[in-house]
Amino acid sequence: MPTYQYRFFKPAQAAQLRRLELMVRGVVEGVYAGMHKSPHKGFSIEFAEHREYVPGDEIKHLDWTVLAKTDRYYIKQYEQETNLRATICLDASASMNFGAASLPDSQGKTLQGVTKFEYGAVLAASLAYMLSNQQDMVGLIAFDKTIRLEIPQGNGPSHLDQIFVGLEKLSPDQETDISGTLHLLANKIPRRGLVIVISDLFDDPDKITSALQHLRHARHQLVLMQVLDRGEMELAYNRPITFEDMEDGSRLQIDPKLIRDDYRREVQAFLDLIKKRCGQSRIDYVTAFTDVPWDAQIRELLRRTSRR
Amino acid sequence: MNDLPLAAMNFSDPVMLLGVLAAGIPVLLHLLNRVRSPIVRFPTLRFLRVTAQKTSRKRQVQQFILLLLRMAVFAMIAMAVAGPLVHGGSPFAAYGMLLLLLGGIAVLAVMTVIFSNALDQRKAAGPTDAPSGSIKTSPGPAPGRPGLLWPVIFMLVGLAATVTAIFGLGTDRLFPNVGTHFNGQSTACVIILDNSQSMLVQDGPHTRLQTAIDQTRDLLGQSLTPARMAVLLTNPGNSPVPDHLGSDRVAQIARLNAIKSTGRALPMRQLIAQATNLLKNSIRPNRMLIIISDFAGPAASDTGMFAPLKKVPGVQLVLMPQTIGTPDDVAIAHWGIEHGAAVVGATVQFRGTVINNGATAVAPRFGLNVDGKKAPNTEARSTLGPGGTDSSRATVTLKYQLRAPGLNRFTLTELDSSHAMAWGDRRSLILPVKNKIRALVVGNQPRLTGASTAFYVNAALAPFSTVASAGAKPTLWSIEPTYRSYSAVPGMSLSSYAAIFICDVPQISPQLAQKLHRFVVGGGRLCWLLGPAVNPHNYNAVAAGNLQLLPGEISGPVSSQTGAAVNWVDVKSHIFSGLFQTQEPFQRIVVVGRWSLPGNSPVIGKVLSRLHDDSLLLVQHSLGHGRVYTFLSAPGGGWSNIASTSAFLPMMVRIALGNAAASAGITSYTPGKAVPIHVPTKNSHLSINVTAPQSHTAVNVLASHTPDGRLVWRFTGAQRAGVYHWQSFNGKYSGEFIVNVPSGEADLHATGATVLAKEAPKKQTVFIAATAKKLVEELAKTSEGNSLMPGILALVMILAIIEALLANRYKPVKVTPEHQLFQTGRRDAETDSGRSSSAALEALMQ
Repeated sequence: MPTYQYRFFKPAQAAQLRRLELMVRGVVEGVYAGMHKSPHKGFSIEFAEHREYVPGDEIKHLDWTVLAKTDRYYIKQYEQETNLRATICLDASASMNFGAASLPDSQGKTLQGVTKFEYGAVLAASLAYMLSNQQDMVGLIAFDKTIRLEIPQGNGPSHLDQIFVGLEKLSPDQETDISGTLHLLANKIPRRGLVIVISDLFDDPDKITSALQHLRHARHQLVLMQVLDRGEMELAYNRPITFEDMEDGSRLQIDPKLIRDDYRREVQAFLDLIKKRCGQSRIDYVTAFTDVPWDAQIRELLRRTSRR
Repeated sequence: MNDLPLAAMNFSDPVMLLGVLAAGIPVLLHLLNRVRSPIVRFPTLRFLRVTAQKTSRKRQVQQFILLLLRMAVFAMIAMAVAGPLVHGGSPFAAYGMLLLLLGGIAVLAVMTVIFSNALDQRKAAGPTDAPSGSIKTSPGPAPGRPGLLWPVIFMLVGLAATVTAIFGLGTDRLFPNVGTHFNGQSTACVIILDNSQSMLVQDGPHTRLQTAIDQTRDLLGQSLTPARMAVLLTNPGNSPVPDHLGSDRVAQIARLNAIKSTGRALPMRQLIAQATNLLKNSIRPNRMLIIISDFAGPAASDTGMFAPLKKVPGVQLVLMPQTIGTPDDVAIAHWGIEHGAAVVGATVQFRGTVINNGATAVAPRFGLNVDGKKAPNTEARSTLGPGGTDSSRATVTLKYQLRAPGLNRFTLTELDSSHAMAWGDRRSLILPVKNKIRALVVGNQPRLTGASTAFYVNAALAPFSTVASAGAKPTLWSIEPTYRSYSAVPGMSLSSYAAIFICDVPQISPQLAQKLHRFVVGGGRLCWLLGPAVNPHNYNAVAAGNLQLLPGEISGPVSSQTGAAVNWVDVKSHIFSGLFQTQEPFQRIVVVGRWSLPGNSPVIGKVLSRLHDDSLLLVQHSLGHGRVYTFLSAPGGGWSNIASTSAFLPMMVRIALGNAAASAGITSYTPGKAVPIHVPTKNSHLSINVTAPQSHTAVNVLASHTPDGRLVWRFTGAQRAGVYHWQSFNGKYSGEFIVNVPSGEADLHATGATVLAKEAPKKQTVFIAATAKKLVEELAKTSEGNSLMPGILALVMILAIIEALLANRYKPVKVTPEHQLFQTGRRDAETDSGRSSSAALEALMQ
């Protein structure tokens, strides 16, 4: 590791992440043998099934016991284990640049909150390190209304360095098109793998669902981390505010006191809908509030992904 | 004129209503908040927009209600400070109207917002309920197109309530007069009560005066109950005129019982001036002048009677007309002697003015009563047009030959009385009728000889003496002449004679001159008839000069062949007045010989007749209490044809009769006027007692000095017509005088109070109310009212509590400190700009 201090990844993180492993529930198509299930039947340790012998099969894979008992020719097949090809998709749109929630520091002093993008970048860096550390291949795609940064899947310290530095160079200031980008990714990632989407998902839920289903149709394992800020959830303003949309610049003058309760319900309904759709599509969904420590968030993610 | 619809609600201090502008403070703060709202960059406005569309409508209405409540609180505080007063009805009705107004405005405003939002929503929703491509961000049915019917209906209801409340508060139409209470504790009031004769009209079961007294009693005792009060009478009579406002209501009411219609009415302007002076000195904020009258006759004829009110502009003027209807009656307005001397035997022509007050033309009959007995052949009929027209007045003329000496009461009586105006059916005149006048004819012969001046004069003074036949009833004649030679006169007493005619006497002795002087000064009438026998030097030396028995020194004689006819006589003189319509009969007098005065002008006296050559024929001058008539020619001696003209006899008779009443020593006065009683004494400590007719109580009168230093006893209590007797305290002196009513109120054609009110000073508050109850209702509408301040303050408190409850209900959900943003108003929106603290990031990654 170079001595360069990454903005979104610190050595302390490495120490914490070294003990963690991300396991995917489904099968993934890796390049090397690894710790994840492969769709291919191979000849490994773990027995999978029998298959009738066809000419051309190697005789050494015949199950001699079955031949002796039944006088039939069966080939013995075993599960193939492979490494993981993960793609971390980080939303780098302008809406991710919001950070109102405060976070107490080690001295208990209230600090200005991190933005959702910063929080997402920390999560992305952490996940990349963790995956790389377990010999999986990890790539990074940052997007807003188009793909802003694409780092192909790879492994090794230099690859991680590329990811960490790439994250630092991102500047979230454009409009977002989550569904379009996810559709693009679904076509772009050729092999089955793990796709981790880190976004606030502030888009049309139908379109998002459609895009996620597209990814699922491509047999990817999907993890959806919806990064949210308490401030945007609570709408904790006590006086009339002129809100300016961070993406399209439109403005709306409103007294938050008048709509706070309904706003919360509306946002919660949106989150519930996303969560429901994810459940229906067998997508791992995690709500990531920026005031929650990143490691706790990673652990929550690992708990979710390993639950089934 | 204040009979316009009066505002049912007004304010004691309307300037404070400017505080209503404070109602704009919540709006200003609201707008200011909106203008100064900080800009916060937010991830997405999607949820805000959706929420705002879905829910802020309701919240907006709630906030709008809060805003209205705050505005109402401010406005009503200002209203309470301005001292709201409600008039004409129950304050509860006013509160109801106030609440209706607030509710109406609130409903109207809220429904307008809802309607506006509904329109926006319909516009945004487009033609279908669920537009394609719309973002469905929450489960549940999509909001439908909001209906506009109910908002419109409620807007109309709110508008109707608002308009009704404004109408109710702004006018007295919706306020019943039940429960009105006029608080007169701050009122000083002067009531001018008309107790003139016209108020004696029987209007309904009572006379107008009785009704007016009842109204006054009601005003003072029950309805108005002023703190300070005074009652002025148009006919005060002997009652004292109040010089200050009193507070003893009971005593004031008790005095009302004694009010009668006596004497003459004072001019209304004078009464209003008195009332104004009384009110001017009052410190009471509410000052009121109430005139209770029928506004008929003289009382209402002075259009400038309200002029004194200009001095005290704050006085409220109240006119209370007491005319219920127009009595169908004829009344005698005036009754008096047209001409004739009040001497036995003289024929007096009486003249009466009668007025019809009824609505239809009538032809009433009138008769003359003398001392209560109907005089024969004295009935007259008069045709009168409807009341109020020019023909409603007519003159009744009656002649009567006076028969009995002494005080005679001549009464004109309406024979077809309807008794609506008892006093107007008959009107009396008391005359002191002198017994026969004794006249002394002085000639230059021992006996009366024919064709002499004395003969003609004697014949003129006793025209029937030569035709009286034995056994026949003597013709009643008022003059009894006596002939004497001028030489016999100095030795005789002249006190029994009323007039002395010196007929062409050659010379006058100084003794005779002195005697004649005393006679004239004592009140006698002396008539010189200067003929050709007169010695001018003797006359000038004895009669002219200091004795002033002649108007100047005579010169002449002047004679001409053709003579000179009379050119002019003073028909206004009592000896010529009413004799002929023109001067022509007098111009038949032709004078051939005459005496003249220097410059054809008398030194003293006035000319009663001139000839064509501008020379004088008759001169009259006063001397002491008597008069001197000087004919500068004479009927005898061929100097003039005056004895043969028709004017001679009446001239002589009138000179002889003179003013019969004055000669009788009795003067007639009018009611209400001070009667000077002359007592022949210099004892200023002597008091006299005056007894009014039909009264047994004598009024003591003290002496006073006239400006010229003479002693006089002035009796001011002559209110009733009749003969008043007076007697000195020591019984040494006595006498009598007569009080006659020359004219009376008979024209009941009232001037409308509305017309009178227009004569009031500009900007003068004028009320017209027939009854005390009506007046108080009118007063309650304008001058004072029930204060709404306590109620409005209570309403303010209620509104403030509601506002607090609503504000608490809608206040923001409590947020944790770390989530509170913009509490200080400082723009902290940098937090959303991506420039987060690196320390936070560091903390995150620790």
